[in-house]
Amino acid sequence: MKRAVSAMVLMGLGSAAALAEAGAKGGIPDPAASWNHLWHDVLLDLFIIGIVFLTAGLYWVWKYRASRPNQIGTAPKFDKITLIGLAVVPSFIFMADDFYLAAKGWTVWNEYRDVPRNAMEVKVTGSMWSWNFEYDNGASSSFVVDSKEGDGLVVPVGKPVVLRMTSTDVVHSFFLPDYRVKEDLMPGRVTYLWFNPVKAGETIATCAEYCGNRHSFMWTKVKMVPQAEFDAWVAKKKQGA
Amino acid sequence: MRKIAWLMAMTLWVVLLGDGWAISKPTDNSDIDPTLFRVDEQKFLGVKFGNEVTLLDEQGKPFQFADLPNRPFVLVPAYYTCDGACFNIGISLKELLKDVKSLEAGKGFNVVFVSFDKNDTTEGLTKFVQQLDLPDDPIRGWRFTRFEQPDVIKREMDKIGYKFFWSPADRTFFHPTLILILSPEGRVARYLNVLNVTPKDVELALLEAKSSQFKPSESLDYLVSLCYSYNFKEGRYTLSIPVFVGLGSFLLGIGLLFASLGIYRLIHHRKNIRK
Amino acid sequence: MSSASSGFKLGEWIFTTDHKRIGVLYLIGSIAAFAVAGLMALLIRIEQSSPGPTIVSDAYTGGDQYNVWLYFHGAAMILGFLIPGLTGFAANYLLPLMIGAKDVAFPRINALSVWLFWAGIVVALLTFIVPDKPDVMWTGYPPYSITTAGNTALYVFTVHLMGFSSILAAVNFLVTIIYMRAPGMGWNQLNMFVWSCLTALIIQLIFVPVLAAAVTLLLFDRYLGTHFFDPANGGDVLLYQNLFWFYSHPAVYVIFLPAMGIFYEIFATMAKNPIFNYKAAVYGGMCFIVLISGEVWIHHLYYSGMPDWLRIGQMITTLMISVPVGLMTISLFGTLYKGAITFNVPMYYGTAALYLLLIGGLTGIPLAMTVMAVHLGETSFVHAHFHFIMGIFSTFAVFAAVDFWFPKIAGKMLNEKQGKLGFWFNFIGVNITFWPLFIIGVEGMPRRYWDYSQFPVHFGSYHKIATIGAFIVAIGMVLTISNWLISAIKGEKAPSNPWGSNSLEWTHTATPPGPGNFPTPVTVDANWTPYNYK
Repeated sequence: MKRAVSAMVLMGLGSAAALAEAGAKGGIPDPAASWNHLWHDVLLDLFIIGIVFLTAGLYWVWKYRASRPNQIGTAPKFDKITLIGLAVVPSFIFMADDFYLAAKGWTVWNEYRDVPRNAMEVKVTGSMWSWNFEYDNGASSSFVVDSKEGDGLVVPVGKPVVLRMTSTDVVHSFFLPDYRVKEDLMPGRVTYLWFNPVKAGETIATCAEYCGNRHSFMWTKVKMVPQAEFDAWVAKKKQGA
Repeated sequence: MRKIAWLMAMTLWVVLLGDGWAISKPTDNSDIDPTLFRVDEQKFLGVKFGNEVTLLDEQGKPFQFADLPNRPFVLVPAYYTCDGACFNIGISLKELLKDVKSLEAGKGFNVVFVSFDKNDTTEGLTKFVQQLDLPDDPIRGWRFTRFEQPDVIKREMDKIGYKFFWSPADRTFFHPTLILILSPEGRVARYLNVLNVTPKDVELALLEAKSSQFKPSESLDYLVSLCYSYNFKEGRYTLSIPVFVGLGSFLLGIGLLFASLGIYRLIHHRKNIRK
Repeated sequence: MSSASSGFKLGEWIFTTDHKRIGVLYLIGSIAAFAVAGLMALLIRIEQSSPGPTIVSDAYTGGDQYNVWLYFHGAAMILGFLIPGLTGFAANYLLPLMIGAKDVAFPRINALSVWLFWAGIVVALLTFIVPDKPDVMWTGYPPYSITTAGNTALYVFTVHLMGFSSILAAVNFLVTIIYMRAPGMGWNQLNMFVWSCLTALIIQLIFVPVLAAAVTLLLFDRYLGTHFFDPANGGDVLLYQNLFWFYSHPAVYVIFLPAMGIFYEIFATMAKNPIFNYKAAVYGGMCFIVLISGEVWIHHLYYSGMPDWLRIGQMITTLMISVPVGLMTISLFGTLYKGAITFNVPMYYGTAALYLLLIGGLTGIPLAMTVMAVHLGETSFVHAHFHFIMGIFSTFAVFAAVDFWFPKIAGKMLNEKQGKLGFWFNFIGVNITFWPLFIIGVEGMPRRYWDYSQFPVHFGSYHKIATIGAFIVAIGMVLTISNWLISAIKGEKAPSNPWGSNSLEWTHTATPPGPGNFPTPVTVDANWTPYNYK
């Protein structure tokens, strides 16, 4: 038992160290991919803990069922040292796992908050119940949910995008499920998120902070298009405005 | 309980009164409509200044704004041949920063003057700096810069919502007495009217702008800064009453815990004496 | 129910100061809240069973109807059912019996607290009568709660009444536990349930005033024109969220701890074993939770624009919760080790609780990690997570408590068959309901949505399965609650100690206990513990 415990602790520390090395790569990171990767690691971690406890629990429930009425449990009486050990050792295992997960989480978190310098800025304004996007050249775009008209957020593929967000009325949250990111918008404050559109395509962004009657309908199309197409689109949008 | 509610109401009232007294009248000594220069803060907060902008330093050498040390900034738009307002801004800022105790220019933050006059020269700049009479080596904390390319001035100033115009009749620029507090990555965190704020406001704005870079040694200042919140209407920081109400009620909870134990002891002590 | 000889007199019940009757009054009120909030849950599930309007009238007014159901479900389940069900009903009925006291320290304050609770239930139910129904969710975030046309005052007054009621209850029980234990009863001889209530009520007493203050400021902003949370006038939007969660995360432990306490009692009695590593669970588990509970609330604000360093700092404190909870879990599991387990309805719920605790607890780990929560937060993953650990785990605790102490409370035995049938419906139903929500949560299904046509089509089938699950649960709930009502009238007469427990409420009182609880004053010696079966 003790050997297994120390092996687990070492494994935790070892992976944390390996992770620190892996974090030092160049190039523009892809936070969504890192998120997915971390999610699988976390699931594995949870699965192991869950299986250990559940098996022990269900096995004991089955094994120690009373065989006759008025039977009394025969739990051994542990001495003080064993009891302290049985509290301290698991505590350290839990803490080791916590630190292991915290270290992994922190690495990906830094990716999430470290906006690449060349990121394209888009200003996002949330209001009940629509999103508006403003580009650096003054072009503005939005998406009307009822008529399905408008382009919504259009971004060039391969260029990181940072959203500078504020709200005109209540708290909203800009949630990009496909890019594994969300951040609240509030009146009087400015918040950020960034994402890396690696592939062309279309997805959605939706409001994730309760904002009243049409909360469910506060969503927008998000289009990832090749750079040339984006340049043409944003120029045309500017003329239209 | 009623007594407690009464007490809470009284504290609230006193705090509110204090707040009322502190409201200052905006000084108005120009004949131009000051609303002309008002910045729509909601629109411009968070804008990044100086992305890919080349500035000229005190000696006329070019450098990138993004290469300045990664600290919060006090950005002062001005022009160096200005005889009145800009000079006053500089002096006022100098006086304000004297009383900003928790942070020091050049260590905790940078002061950067940028000129919006394309005709400014190194000589004019030097004279302006001399007149300001800064206490120690100005180059460390205070930087005086110009744009390398005159044609980006308007664009960059528009981007941060700063309005100014040349009056040929008066042969001067008309411009507001605004300073900008920028976050370490150069994003606009606050607009402050240098003639309408106290050193505390500048300090709070700087602490707020650097909250992502907070160091444990500054925790006390940071805690104090949590007691204030920015008031867009007054353009200043005002006490955040809910913080005190929350803190008070938390202490009330802890007090209740001990009070209830005390009361029970008291009652039973009396009963025992009667027996 | 408790006085078999004299007839039933309503006035005696309303003006009672007997902690046992007050406990039963709490139970009736909280089950009433549970039933109405449960109906709201069914409405919510029916609406979500297909994209687009299902039972709401249309896309423009649908939100107004749906949001009221959500509001009532959340507020009533937490404030009207879970907290009063555990720290009102269970604590009231059991604490004085477990520590060998005649009654609580301040019986009349106890009566006041149950009246306030009932008033709170009535005010909460006004939701369905007023024309401007409250729609601010149980969180009531400004500026929405200040600008909405809905009636925020009802929300605030419900919180006030329930909060004041629980402050009084907390004061009362803390004094009772500290000063009224039977002579000879030391701190390490207390029932686990007593310890769990002691720690939960300390949290409740310290943190409830903060919530009460926060919602009061909300009321001022809404109706008196103050600007506490209005950023245009110097207020701070985020501050309310901080104050709210400063109370409301600890409130999770106010629910979790007594629920754990109930399962400890059931496990020890049914396995005829002492609590495994009692001191580790009490001091390293429960007391440590009290200490840490006030330093983790930022995990509700991971994506709300708080400074980055704070989000990271509280990720570490939040993950640290796994230590006390882990110790308590080990102690709970360990109590079964080499036991002699008898299976009856409470133990069925207990076994299910092992599983719920694991699923609910472990899914909390990714949510404690800032970067994971940035995607998973505010999705139905969170929704499923807290339903497992807070909703179902604690609801099962209340059910198990009623089933376990039913012979004591009513003097009658429950119908075992119906109880077991109800359990299976409940247990299978909650799994069918919430596992699909975990899955679509990871894919991005947001909370508090009634229409989700913008998402991939297969979300619809997951929602349909969840809705079927909800109806299975509903059948289980009806079976369970009707079992109590029928058995209270028609059940077999209960023996004085049907489970062979060693705890004072079974060994030293009549069944059901009369006024004054104990026929003769109780004293215990140094060797006595409620779990000493040898």
